[in-house]
Amino acid sequence: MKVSNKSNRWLTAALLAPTSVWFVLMLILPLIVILVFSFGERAAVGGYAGGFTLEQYANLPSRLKAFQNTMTIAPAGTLLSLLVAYPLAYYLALRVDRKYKLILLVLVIVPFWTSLLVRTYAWIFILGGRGIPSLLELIGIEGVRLINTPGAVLVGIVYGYLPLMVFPIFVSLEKLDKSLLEASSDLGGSPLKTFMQITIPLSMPGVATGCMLVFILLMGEFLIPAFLGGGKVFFIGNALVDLFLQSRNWPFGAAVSVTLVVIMLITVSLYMRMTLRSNTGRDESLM
Amino acid sequence: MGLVSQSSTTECEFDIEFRGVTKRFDDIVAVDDISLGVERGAFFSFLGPSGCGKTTSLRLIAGFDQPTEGKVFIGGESVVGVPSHKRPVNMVFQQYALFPHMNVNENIGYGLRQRRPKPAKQEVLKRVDETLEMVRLSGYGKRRVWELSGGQQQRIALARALINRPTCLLLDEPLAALDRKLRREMQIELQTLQRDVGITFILVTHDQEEALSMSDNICIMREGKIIQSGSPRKLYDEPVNKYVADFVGKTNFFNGEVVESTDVTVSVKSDSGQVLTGMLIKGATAPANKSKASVAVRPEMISISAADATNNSANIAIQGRVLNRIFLGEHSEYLITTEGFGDVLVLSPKSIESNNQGFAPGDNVSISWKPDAALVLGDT
Repeated sequence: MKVSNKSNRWLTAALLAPTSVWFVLMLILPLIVILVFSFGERAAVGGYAGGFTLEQYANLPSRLKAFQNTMTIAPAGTLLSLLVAYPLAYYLALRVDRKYKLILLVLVIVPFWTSLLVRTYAWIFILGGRGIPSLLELIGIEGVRLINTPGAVLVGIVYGYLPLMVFPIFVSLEKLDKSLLEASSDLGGSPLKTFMQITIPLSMPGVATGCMLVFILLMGEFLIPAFLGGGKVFFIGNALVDLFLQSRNWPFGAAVSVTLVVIMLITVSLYMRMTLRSNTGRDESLM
Repeated sequence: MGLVSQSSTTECEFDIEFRGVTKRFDDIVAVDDISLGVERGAFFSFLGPSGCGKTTSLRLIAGFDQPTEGKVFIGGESVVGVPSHKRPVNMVFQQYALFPHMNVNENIGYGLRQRRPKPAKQEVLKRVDETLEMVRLSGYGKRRVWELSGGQQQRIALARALINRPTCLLLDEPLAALDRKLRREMQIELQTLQRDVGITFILVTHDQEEALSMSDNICIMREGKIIQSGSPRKLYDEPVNKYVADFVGKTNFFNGEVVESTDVTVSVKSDSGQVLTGMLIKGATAPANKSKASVAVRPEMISISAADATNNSANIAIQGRVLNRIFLGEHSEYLITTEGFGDVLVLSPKSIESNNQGFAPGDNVSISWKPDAALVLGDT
């Protein structure tokens, strides 16, 4: 048994090696570089000039607006996506005729076949002056401005991230034992009470997974605010693009990045602790 | 209990009543024009193979499905269009359907908590404790349901239904998921419980032994129709056709064609040319000449003796050879091969055999039965 254990260990190591190397080269090392840069100084012509200073971190308040936007619109966008995705997932998992289920599921994914960039670009026209506002003018409502508002960014977010929220919820609703719903009804639970007491609690693993996916990606989002926020509603992602590519202030960009990572680590671990507790040790609790 | 004519007015003697109930799913007829009544406080079973409509019948009572035609009555009142959460019946599901995110207390108290006005927390807890005691699981209230064994989950499911004091308790193959020994225990427990609480129990099962041992009345179904209903004894002694005789207990069938019939007996000629006579069941009409019929003899009605032994000439006797013997303790089960009548199963009590040690495979024997032990049954 000892021999086979040993060879098993080698096999495990060999199988894990590619991932580990990739992980170290593409994630750990860059993170260390960023961390080191964040304590350095900007070279006169842009880039990194070495040294050790806390100046970059002291300068963080100058990007307060980007942090504020991200920290409000990312959670709001997650919540809004959840509110739109849940009824859709519920319908797909529990209500729709089996015959149409697959087709409808494919329709949810179809938008992914086109680049998010192109699809978000389309929203510029829909929300822009010659889009919905011009239609509203036809019925006498004038002066409505949609594009370049937080609302436009939220619409883009919900549109872009919906499938990521729909699928985990769909899966948890689909594997929900339907006899539990009948049992609730049999015991006197009205449809609404059954939904609140059985369906929602038992779909929480899917909700938690979906929210986590969307929230994490939203924290680093830059495309949607860049297009639909028009420089008025910008995220940390936009600030980073600006710092690294435009003003070439790498150390300050690095400091902003490190701060973003820290904020994300804190919120995600708080969130995981919360969802894990509400599922007290059930094996299917999360992801 | 019995079949109820469709025109009869309700005198509310039945807890559950079906009047001309049909349930169709698209073009499949799951339940086909069924009328029946279940007396208050009875232990009633729907028995049949899978797909016979027994589970659909139960779901029509629970309100998970609505009949396509006809009416279901609960406690004398029509429940047409009444959703399941407003019906005074509760169900024990096949896989129990306990709520995995609630502990035992929360599961059992679920029904009470749905009521309006909402009962006080203390009141719910008190009733839950009483019910836990009834199913002999006191002290298990704080447990998570998936920590419990199958038998314990079964009892929690029972408690969760019974705490609501339903007019009628519905049991959908409740013992199917349990092992054999536990199933026996639960059968006895269910019967005791039913006597104690005095509620009508309706059981759905494909297990004839389970139905026979527990029920006051059984309804045997096939392809959405009731084939026969009555007490276990009546179904066993007076099956209306071959299907029922085959489903309830073991039976030897001698198949053939009707050649002669009187008011009380029918003679059937087998393919090999042998003729056997059987009794017609009381009230049944004799099958027409040349129609297919079977003479049925229960294995325990057949006696076995040495081939050269003298026989009571009034009995019907057939010569054969022992193929196999299974010792079952108080009984021996013989498989006897005969000429012209195929293989015959004989159940021989130990008390008769004790003097001669029984027969061994290869022995030539004579099997015989009293004329009134053989029944003539139509194929349908």
